[in-house]
Amino acid sequence: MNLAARGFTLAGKALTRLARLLPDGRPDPLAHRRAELGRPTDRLDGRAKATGAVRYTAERQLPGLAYAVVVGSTIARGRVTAVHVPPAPGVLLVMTHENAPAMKRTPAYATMKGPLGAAAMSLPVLNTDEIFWYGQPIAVVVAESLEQARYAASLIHADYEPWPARLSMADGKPYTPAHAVLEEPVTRRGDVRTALGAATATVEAEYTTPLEHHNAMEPHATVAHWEGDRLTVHDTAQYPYGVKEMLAKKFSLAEENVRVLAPFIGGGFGGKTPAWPHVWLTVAAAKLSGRPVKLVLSRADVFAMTGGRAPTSSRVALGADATGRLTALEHHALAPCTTDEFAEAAVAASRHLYTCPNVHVAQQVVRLDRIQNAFFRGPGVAPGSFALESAMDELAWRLGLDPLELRLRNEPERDPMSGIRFTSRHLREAYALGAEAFGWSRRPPAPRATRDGRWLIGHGMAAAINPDAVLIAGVQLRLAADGTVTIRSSTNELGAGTSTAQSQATADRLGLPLDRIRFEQGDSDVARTRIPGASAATTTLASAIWSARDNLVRELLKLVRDTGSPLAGRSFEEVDTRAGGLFGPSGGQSYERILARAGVEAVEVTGKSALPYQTVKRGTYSYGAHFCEVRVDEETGEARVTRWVGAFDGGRIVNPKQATSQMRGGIIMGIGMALTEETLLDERTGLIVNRSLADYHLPTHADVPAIDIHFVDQPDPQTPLGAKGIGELGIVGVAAAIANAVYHATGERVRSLPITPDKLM
Amino acid sequence: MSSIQLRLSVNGREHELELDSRVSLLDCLREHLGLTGTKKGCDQGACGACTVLLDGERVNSCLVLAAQCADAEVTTIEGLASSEAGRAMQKAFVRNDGLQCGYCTPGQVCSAVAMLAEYEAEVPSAVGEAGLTDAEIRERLAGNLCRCGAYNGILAAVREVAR
Repeated sequence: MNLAARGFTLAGKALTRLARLLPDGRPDPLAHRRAELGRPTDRLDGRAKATGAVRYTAERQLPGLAYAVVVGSTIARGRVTAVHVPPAPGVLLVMTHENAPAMKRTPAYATMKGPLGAAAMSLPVLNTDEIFWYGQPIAVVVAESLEQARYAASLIHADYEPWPARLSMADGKPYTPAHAVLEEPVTRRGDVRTALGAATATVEAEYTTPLEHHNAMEPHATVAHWEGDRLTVHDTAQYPYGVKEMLAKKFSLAEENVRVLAPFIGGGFGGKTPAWPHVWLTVAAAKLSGRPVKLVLSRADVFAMTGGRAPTSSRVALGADATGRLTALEHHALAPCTTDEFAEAAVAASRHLYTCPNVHVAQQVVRLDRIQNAFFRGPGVAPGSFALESAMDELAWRLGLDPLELRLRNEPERDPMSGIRFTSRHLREAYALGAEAFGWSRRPPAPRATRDGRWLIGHGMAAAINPDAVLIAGVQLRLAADGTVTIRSSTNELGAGTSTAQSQATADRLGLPLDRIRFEQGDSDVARTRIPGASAATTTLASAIWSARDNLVRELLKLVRDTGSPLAGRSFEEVDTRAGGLFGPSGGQSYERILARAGVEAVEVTGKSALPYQTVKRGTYSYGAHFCEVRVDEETGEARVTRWVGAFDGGRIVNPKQATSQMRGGIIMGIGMALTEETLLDERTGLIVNRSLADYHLPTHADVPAIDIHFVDQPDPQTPLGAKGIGELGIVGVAAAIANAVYHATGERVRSLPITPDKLM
Repeated sequence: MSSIQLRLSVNGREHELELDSRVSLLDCLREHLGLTGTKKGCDQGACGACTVLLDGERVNSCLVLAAQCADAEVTTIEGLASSEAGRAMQKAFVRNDGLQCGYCTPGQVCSAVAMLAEYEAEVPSAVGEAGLTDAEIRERLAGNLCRCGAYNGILAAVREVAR
């Protein structure tokens, strides 16, 4: 282990000890309240979306708008020696490394080093002649129309001095990164090898997952507009505040002079968490051309110029005694990274899912000349759980034990790695709910035992786990004289249902009906807000709104101080927000009345999320169990998912309708991961060959069965609203459940994703 | 790069346009007519986000040049709201949560409305089951990708309207 990794691990251990001394947070009274919270409300922006009224980034029209198209490199490593730019009509600017303005280097977000600006990578794209990956932008064409920009871009070609490129995981030397997405890269306890030797049953196998791309339906887009040294950017940013910080640094601007707007995003899944180079190149092109510029990546450019989920290779060894208790757990994972060290931390699930005395988990990376990897729904845990949960299934077969029973026998009481308590863990309940709904106990015990014509039918299951985080957010709250409340936030609506869920939370926090609440989102200038993803929006924003509510109460008490109101002279602790107003022991008043009596138009306050002591001192995770039926065509090897039950512990469920959709979405993405999705990168050149939606196969409507979702719906006593993040949870474990069902159907164990027909023929 | 004079009828409204001949129907709607409800997901006919109705039939508007639509009636998601079938489908999508990020939704709604008309007109599908089964609906809507995975809700919405 290198020095950085050792330092991180030691610091982490010291922090864990210190964290136990932290105070508990305030239990949220809303965790058990049921008015708007818990109601399956239709999404509030549903109508605007279904009628096409929502404006996404690429739909911003500005006077004098010009169109940009990016040209990518056709080598993976080397230097550009010349860029040839034949004349073309309508062209306003061709920006290359020779004329691009200086853009300061900023740290890559995913490395989590230093300020958390949103740059996807630290590489100086277009400020150097050096090429770091195939498809790196070498020119940006700006023209009067999209057609002109596209045509001019098609004429541009470059001369290169190619250097040897490291493109395959076999090309580099594996080493231990500083951290595995904020977890220890190496954890060792007991003696795994001796335990494996003494075990009743063992499994040792290698599992691989391929490079995958998020492929949100909305391609990445940026519209940049300069007015003097003031910059406004509309961007498909999951993390608007981080993009603002990053652009201010890159272009040496005061932060207050940069505004990033991103209210509605057409899907992100982590692919829009960091800003890829095209974002700052659009800003540079707008500066250089003196025109507002719009850049929308083509689908092929989304593959070449934004990162995906890194491929992983996991070697897992498990041992168990005759009673089915795990005695050894080894998980060594390898994933590529770039000059910016970011590991797809495949070992994460193996650190928290099962109790085991002898453990050795180790994450390694190898540096390659590819584009920086991205966070992708369930980073680390999604591919890593394919390895662990497949191996658990293999172990169950060797032990002659039901795979569900094997999991129940190894369910931990405390976090297996740190020994700290969980804030809540209802995985047993999720297993029970899912197994009952699926009819798991009626599964025929032998593989290859069920057939329907040429279809072999199998059942499989797997567990899901995802770390829960409360991050940093600020909000503005405005209570108007008519009793309506507007919440403004820098966070945006990705489709997760944040605006609806937070409107519900605000309604109950203030004791107002839902139709009195407005939620405005996606303006970087509202407040410092660091919710780049991590399934953290629900709890983090709820915490900030809770704080804003407290500040509102204090302001309202000031307004009634010298009046004849029954609230006059009451302290903060004596009053509550409910039934449309503020109430104390001797009665209360509606918000409208308080404001009318005071003669004020509105009361405006801010709120900040609380430091999440209670989740830092304990382990906070959301959990789930997947049960599925898969049919495999014996002749063609085609696998089709025909039935699915998912049961989840996501704490208190804020909006069951939206939450159900989100879990289904994760499962469907997992079906793609299991059966069809694979970005094919030619390891001789670095070119992605299937860079289109015709060749990269997302699950279609015809590939998806009815998906039955259940929630344990128990509030977590330590989190805002009692909720836990569920945005990423659904995908975790899906690929393993499918692989396990394929084994049950066919007797064939496939350890490399995706499970395409060639692997089953 | 010749430009063309074009009269285009969109949602019952006539537009006189002078366009670069390379402009697709999709870019014409989004960049020239301000009808941004129609979405661009791939620009190569693989995702269905740009689905509109051309003389009542669903097409990927990224694969049609504006110049080809001179004599046709184009109906977009914005125009669908003025028909009973369109409104019913839009409402059913919201009620059944057949959407999340909303980006594929206009294409899904247009596709679903046209699909039901195709079914009524006995246009065959690869499934070929008797009656409008779930498998039929899924197959007939398989050209519209949804990365958020709202398919179960979309199916429920279409079922509700087809009832």
